Amino acid sequence: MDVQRIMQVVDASFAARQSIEKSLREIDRRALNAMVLVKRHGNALAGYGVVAQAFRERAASLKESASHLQETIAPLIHAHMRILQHQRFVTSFDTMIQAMAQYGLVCASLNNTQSQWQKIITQEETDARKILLRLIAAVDALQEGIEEQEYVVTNGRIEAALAEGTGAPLMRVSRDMGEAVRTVSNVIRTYRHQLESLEHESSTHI
Amino acid sequence: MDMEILQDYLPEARELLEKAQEDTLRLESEPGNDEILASVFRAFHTLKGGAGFLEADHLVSWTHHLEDLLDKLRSHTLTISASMIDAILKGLDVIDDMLQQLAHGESPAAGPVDLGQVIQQLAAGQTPYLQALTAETDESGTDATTCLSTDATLMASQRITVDGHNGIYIERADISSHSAPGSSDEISEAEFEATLDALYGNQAPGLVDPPEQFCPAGDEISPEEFERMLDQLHGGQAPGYDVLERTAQTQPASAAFALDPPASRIGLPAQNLHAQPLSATPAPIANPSARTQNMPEAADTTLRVDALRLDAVMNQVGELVLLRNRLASAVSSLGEENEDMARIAREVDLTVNDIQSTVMRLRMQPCKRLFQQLPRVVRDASRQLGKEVKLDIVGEEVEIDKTVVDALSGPMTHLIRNSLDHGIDPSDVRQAAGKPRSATIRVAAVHLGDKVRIEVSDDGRGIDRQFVTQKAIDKGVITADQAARLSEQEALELIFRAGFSTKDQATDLSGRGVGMDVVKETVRKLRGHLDIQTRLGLGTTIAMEFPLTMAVLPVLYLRLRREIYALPISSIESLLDIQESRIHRMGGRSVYRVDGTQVTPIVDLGALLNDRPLRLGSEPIEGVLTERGLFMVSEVLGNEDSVVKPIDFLAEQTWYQGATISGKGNVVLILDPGALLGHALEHPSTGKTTPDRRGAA
Repeated sequence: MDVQRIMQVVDASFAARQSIEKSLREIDRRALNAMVLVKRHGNALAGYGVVAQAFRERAASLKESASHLQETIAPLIHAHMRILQHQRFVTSFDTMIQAMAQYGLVCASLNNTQSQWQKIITQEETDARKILLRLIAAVDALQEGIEEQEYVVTNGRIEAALAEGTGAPLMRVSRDMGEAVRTVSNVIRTYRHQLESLEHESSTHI
Repeated sequence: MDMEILQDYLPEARELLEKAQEDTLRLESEPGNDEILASVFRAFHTLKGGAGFLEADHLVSWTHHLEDLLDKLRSHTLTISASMIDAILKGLDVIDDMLQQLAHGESPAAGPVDLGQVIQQLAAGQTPYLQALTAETDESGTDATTCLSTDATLMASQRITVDGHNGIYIERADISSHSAPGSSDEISEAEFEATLDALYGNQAPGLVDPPEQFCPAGDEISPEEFERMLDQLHGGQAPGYDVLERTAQTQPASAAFALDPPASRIGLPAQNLHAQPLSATPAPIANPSARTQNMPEAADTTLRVDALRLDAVMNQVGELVLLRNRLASAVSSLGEENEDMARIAREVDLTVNDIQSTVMRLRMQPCKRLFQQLPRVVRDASRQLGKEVKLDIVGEEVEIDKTVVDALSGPMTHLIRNSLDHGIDPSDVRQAAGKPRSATIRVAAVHLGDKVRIEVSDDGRGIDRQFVTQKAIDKGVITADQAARLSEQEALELIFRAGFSTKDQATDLSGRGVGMDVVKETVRKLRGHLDIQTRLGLGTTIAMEFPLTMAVLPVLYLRLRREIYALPISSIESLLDIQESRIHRMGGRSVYRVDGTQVTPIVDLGALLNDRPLRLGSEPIEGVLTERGLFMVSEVLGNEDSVVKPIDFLAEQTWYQGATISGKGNVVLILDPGALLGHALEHPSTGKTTPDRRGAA
């Protein structure tokens, strides 16, 4: 993996984080909107109130999951940068060994050191992969949260249909909620694909 | 005076008074309804009894005279007339004054002498001197009571007819020669006036012609009058009825009539047809206990509780709500591992919600209490103005917080009077405009979610915005510059400004420029919303929306940089993500394009409350869309049911509705969106938003 590739992952993580935060904020706002609507209609929309509350709680939980995602991204980048650095060391030892060989010189300790760094890199790659898998697991958790949120939106649609007689624009609110959830879902799916490709690349070195 | 008895007596007396007034007004349309007559009689009787315990002699005496009049009406000794209704209503007003004196711990003063005499004369079957009753209606000259001043009477006598049978003869005659029983030789003022009326008839100097329907022309007795007279004399046993045959066998004619032909004569005022009892057998009287028997045993299921105790309970529930919020907040910060605590918090939440709604219901009262005074207001004011008005009341059963009912009584009266005085044209003008002669004022109460909407609408002339704006400029309420910036709706709302009136001279009903201001202020204090809609030539609707309960206020917490504020949820439409491209400048104001159809003023709360505008693009900004404008805030945090604590130590007019304690235990100021928007609109520079990129706005 080269610096360019790492920078791509950094950019993707930053963009995903921004999008997820924005979308979760949007979800929270939709949930608050729904709760305001429910409150304004008194007890008539109590059923939808429960859904709106659940939607908001899920949104808060997703936010929490997203923050764990961020906690994992930094060590991953750090690990890959370290690998890159150590790969540079190995390369430079290799250059030195080849330069000495031109003069018929052999330095056993240099070969030994190079081999040591190679082992360190292998270990670091294993660790980085573990971090990556942890990150993918965090993204999976986020995706599961989104799926639960979609389930809440479906419940909301049912409640909205039941409370249609009240004249409150609950169908519109539910649709807005659904759109906000779909946006997060798409962002997360895209991000996961990028992480999977990174995993694929990482695995070739093992 | 026994204060304990007084405490029990006053609320009951007020209820009786309200019921009596309502029944008296019903009597106008249903004069023959014995049940209503009996109800009014019972009210006076009960009022008198209680006043006796309190040794309030003047109240006893006053209610006694009214009771006397009602007793004769219910026993059909007298027949109800417009002048009697007037006298009873005015008598009720006097009782109301007396009750107020009692409430202040004073012994009530004597009632007005002239009205007292009128009531006594009416009870004695005489035509009273009507100045006390017609004082308000003389200007219009349309009061039916004016024609009652004539002393022409219907005289019934039993004579032998030409064919030798017994016959009842009814003729119009003058009773001015008939003095009241017990009268002395000295002629009273009332008698003098009555004599003058008898001499001049309806042509007396200073007397305006009464409407035709009330003053029959000439000596001719109409068939209706004849029929009514017969009914008075015979009840259901008039000659020609089958039952007469049976009655005649059991009851001698002489006993039934007590009239010895041809001398016996009964003097009956023409308009009132006050028939004296003709027989020893009393006329059928509605059994006062009959209705009581049919009524549910209210005493077994209801309990009268001092409102102060209810207020105390409500305050305690308010504290409980605040504690519930704190518990919920504390538990949520503990995390998911405390599942038991979370469950307990949820159960506490549900229980407190139940208690809160139960206490809320304790304070709810039907709008009927608020509306029941209105028929009287319409009746009196329409007579005074000489306008024909029909009052439609809808939604009397809708319940609302007692505070609102108590506070809204005055404003409702003012809205009705204003509508009558300014909104409704005289009948001839209405007719010329192709409208029905009789105008309609509609008062309605409807449930709207967690709100109750009370509307007063009329089918009058509507409000001319340009005229209102010009008047506001003339009266110095606004400047011409300000007027130029007003939207149509804002121009209309000028009528709620202090000191505004379209009249140059104040009358009894309006023109002082304070009434509508009071309406607006009352609605604001009740955390309500006032709206006015008008269509020129078609009518005006003034709608007030109030929260269902004043006990708890659902609020939305928001962050403005480091400070937390609250906004009442009732004023919020939705929450928006502010987009710079949607902010525009229009007429010196910042406005926000919400969607393709809605453009609303935008108010930067940072500029208004922090003196530092929020910077779009540089810091997080969210929008709270209210009914009248969009507020820019840093972040919307969440909602909570809060309890408002008054902050009356601040100036009278502030931007805050009060304060509350959040779930985290912090004191949070509750913003008054109306006041904030009003200020921002009047001082456009303070509410101006500062986009990070220049030229976006």
